[in-house]
Amino acid sequence: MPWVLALLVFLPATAVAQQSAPRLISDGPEYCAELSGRFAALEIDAPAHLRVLADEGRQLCAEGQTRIGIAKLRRALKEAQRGE
Amino acid sequence: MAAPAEDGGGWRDIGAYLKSAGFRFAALFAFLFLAAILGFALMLWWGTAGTLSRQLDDAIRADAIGLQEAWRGGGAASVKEAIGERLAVDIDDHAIYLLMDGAGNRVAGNLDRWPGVAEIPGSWSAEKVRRDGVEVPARLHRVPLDQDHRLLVGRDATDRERLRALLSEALLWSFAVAVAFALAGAAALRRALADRLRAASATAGAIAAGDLSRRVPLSTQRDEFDQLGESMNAMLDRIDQLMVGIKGVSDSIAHDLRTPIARARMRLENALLTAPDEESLRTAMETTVSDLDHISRVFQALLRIAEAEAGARRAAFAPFDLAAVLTDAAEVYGALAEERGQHLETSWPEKLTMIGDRDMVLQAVANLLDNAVKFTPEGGTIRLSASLPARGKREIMVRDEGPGLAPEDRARAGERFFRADPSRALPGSGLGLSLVKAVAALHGGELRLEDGEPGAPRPGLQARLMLSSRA
Repeated sequence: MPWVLALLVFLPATAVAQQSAPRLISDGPEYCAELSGRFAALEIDAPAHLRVLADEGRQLCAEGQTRIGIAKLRRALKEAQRGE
Repeated sequence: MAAPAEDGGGWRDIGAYLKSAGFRFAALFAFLFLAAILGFALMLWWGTAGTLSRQLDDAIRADAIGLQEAWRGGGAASVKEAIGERLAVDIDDHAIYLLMDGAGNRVAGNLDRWPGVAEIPGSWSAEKVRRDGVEVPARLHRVPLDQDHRLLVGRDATDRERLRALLSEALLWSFAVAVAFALAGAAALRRALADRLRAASATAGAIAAGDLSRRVPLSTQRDEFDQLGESMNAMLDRIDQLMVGIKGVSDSIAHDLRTPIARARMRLENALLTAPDEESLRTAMETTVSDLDHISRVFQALLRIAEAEAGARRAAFAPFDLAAVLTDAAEVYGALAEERGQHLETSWPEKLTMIGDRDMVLQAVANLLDNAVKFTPEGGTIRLSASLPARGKREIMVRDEGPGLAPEDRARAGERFFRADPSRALPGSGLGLSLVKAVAALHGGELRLEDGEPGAPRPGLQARLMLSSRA
């Protein structure tokens, strides 16, 4: 009865896959790019220090430090929106 | 170790310990102490972790309401834009959103897929989500939109869970310390109680063993235990006094009855051996019957005093007219006084109703009049009067013109078999005033003995019998 053994091995793996928690995806390079695009729309009117902050964020994302990069971009966006 | 288990002594000791007042007080103290600590812990939890939870839910609810308004304004596209904007400025990186269409595709948000449990619209759940490969706690709320779209709004609850864990640990340690303090306090309380009660217990044990002279030692603290000790000592003094009284009465009974019994026996013996004829024998027997009647009267008086003192007759209390009782007594003793050349003066209101034992009151008045007749010389006057000195009070006064009573004799006049020196030559048993005193006590009153005419050579005796109408 090899199919029974296969089922026994397969079932727990499926169960584990189903039980694994959903993942937060706002911490990857794609999201860096999305935030960078959002800031680009405000960049012309933004003060210099916010542009510097956003550039630092982009740079960090490019270097693979996406969480810190995202945090800087968010701060730049928030300040820029407040300025508007 | 086996012996107590075999005869059950060990279990009995434990049972007695658990039933002891010291243990129960100590257990009550420990319970109250721990209950207070538990109450404090609950308040602390409610004020910190509870507040944080409520704030988290309020933030999610406000967010959800905003997104529902966006949905009503522009549908899925509007919600998508709102989610994007909110995530873009979420510096704390705590916000969680997920908008899905009817086909199960993610439209907006930062969660890769729909969690299994958030299926019911409007439901709240505590979930785990993965951040950087690590599972973190999250609070999620399923926001109702329409049939085709599902919206999830939530927050990362890591900070809240961290605070809860810290608080739980701190409270657990605090509770452990509180339990230790409660147990130590309970043990100290039990020991303190046992120490304070030991002296009273030892005294009671010594008295039970026959040493009636022992008294409870009192401390300088003047607390409840000292008050208990004082009460016990007062009780023991009273018992001691009563024991002395009982012994005195027993001695008096033995002394006062031995003489008439011995006399009666001797008379009968002499008559039996030496009576010359039947007439002499009959005379001796009649005299002996008279002696025995006297003994019987003494016993009867003793029984009546005991009955009055015990208060047993209080059940037979009924309304009666004291004026009628005094009239009856005056009729009998007026005649007796007249025979002895004395004069009885009477004075009382027409109606003197009261509640009490009519027979006992009559007996008391008769005893007072009997004494007055006995001690007043020929030609003298005896006064019997009654009044209402206060509401519910009755006062009967009997005054004679006899020698009176010395102050030291007045204090002892109510004792059984006590007879003052001038009265020893006169017939009597020394029980008359004892009965009067007992009747006064039975009716919630007292007997006061005073000089009839203070300062006179023969002051006479004024006996005031104070009675309460409703004893």
